[in-house]
Amino acid sequence: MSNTDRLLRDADHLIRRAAIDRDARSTVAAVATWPELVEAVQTLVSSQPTDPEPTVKSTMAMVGAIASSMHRDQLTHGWPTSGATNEAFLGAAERINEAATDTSRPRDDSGVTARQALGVLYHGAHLIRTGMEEYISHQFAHQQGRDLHRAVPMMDRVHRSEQLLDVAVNPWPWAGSSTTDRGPTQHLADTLAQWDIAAHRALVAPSATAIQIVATGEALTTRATGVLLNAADPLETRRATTGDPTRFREAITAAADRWQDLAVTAHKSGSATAGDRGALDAFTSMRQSLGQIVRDGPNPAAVEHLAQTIDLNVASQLSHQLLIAGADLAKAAEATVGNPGLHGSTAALMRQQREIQEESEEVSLINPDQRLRDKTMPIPPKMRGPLRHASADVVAATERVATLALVAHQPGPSPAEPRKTPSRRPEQLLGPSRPIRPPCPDR
Amino acid sequence: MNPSTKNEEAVEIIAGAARLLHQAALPRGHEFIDIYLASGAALASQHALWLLPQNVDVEAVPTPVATDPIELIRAAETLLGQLPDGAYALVPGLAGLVADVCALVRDCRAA
Repeated sequence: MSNTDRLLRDADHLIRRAAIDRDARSTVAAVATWPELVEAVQTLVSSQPTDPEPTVKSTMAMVGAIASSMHRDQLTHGWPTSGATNEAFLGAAERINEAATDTSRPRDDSGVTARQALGVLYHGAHLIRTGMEEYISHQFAHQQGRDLHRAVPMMDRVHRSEQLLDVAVNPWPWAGSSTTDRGPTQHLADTLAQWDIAAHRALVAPSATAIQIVATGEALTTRATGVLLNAADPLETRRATTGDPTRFREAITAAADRWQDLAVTAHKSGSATAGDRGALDAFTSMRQSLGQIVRDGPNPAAVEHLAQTIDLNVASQLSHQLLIAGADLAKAAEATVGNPGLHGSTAALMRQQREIQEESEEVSLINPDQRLRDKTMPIPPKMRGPLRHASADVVAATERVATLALVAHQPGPSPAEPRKTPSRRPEQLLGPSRPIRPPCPDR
Repeated sequence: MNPSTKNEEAVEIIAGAARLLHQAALPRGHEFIDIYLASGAALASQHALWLLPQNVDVEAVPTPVATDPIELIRAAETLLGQLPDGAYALVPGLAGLVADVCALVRDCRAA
């Protein structure tokens, strides 16, 4: 292992530990130390014997400019206070600076060193963004808003840096290539996963606000549709799609059938403003995209269209419905717990609920069971069972979220002790070792 | 260590982590935290599988003997800590997986 490798690995481990151990204080200190970490990576990238790749170069230029503006603001406004320093970030910056002056480094490493350093920076940005979200949420909930006008713009800028670094370090697998046989399943699941991940992170916050309840309900509903998309068991999806084109097509065709369920679910969950027409349009559009994929093989444009259709048509309908439900939930939570932190969010939700209802000609919400009884939409008998289950899942998920929100707002004991578990090495957990076939050299 | 060997090592570690996370994602309880950790582990497992080349036989990786999701998630994080140097450059998307697993380990503390 070269000295540079060792230093970058140390820096990465420091940031990972910091991500696991972070709290409000260390997060705010990380904001103060962030420009120093960015500067260290900029020095390392510019000290490379060969020119950095264009993506790396442009990413670092933008992230560097953002970090400089943060540093200027810190000096001007005094937030975070000048004494705040995150030791892990400082240690990582020192190691990266040391790596930049390492003369034993190979002359041409094909940009590996630069990308590794960008990975470290991405983890740092991710830590700050998630930590700041919690910090800000906590401040809102406890009406301690004196730092908010400084903290929110700082978080926004780190968030932007995180997005830029994300694109550079975690590119889509098909970026720059024409096709991939993993595209459709991956992108569909990713669209769903991003909602889930956002909601999960929101829930980590010690005091979920009403708007987070809505976001989580939305994400859980999306997850229910994910189950319909056969994305529930990744190993099963992989088995169905690996290597064999026939099986891949069968899997996609099976997924197409599930779209029918999805359309019904969208219809069920869609607001009255969108109505039948919107659900059917969404279904038709999705079916066309999927048909194209089945006919012509995975194609990034078709897949993109499909993912956008989910986002724009289905998700927006779910959002309206859940916004209305969320307003009711927040109102109930506020009344039950009497938490003043909920008041502003509840009022905002109620306003939006009223606006939606005023815009809508048909105010009544769609009851899926009523739909089934009235048969206002032709639903094949085989779809009725899944629809009932999906409906039950959504209701159960919403209930869980509401329960969590209520629990989160009740004054409780001090944070629970971590569950004690005997530590074992991962190799021991995996049992007797068997070789994994290595990848083909041409992949 | 040449890039090919590093790549194989990275693949082996990611496959192991995917297996551990998949095991952690199996439904075990009805408490919110059980569902919460299981769904987080399922997403991370799915993310890990996406990173692997198609011809890697993940099911050849032995099923983990442990059943406690917290222990399994922590083991996955430890395993990912052993990634070879330059792994983020070798496997695009890996940094995102590592960040998600770190977040999951943090979530375990609330359990």
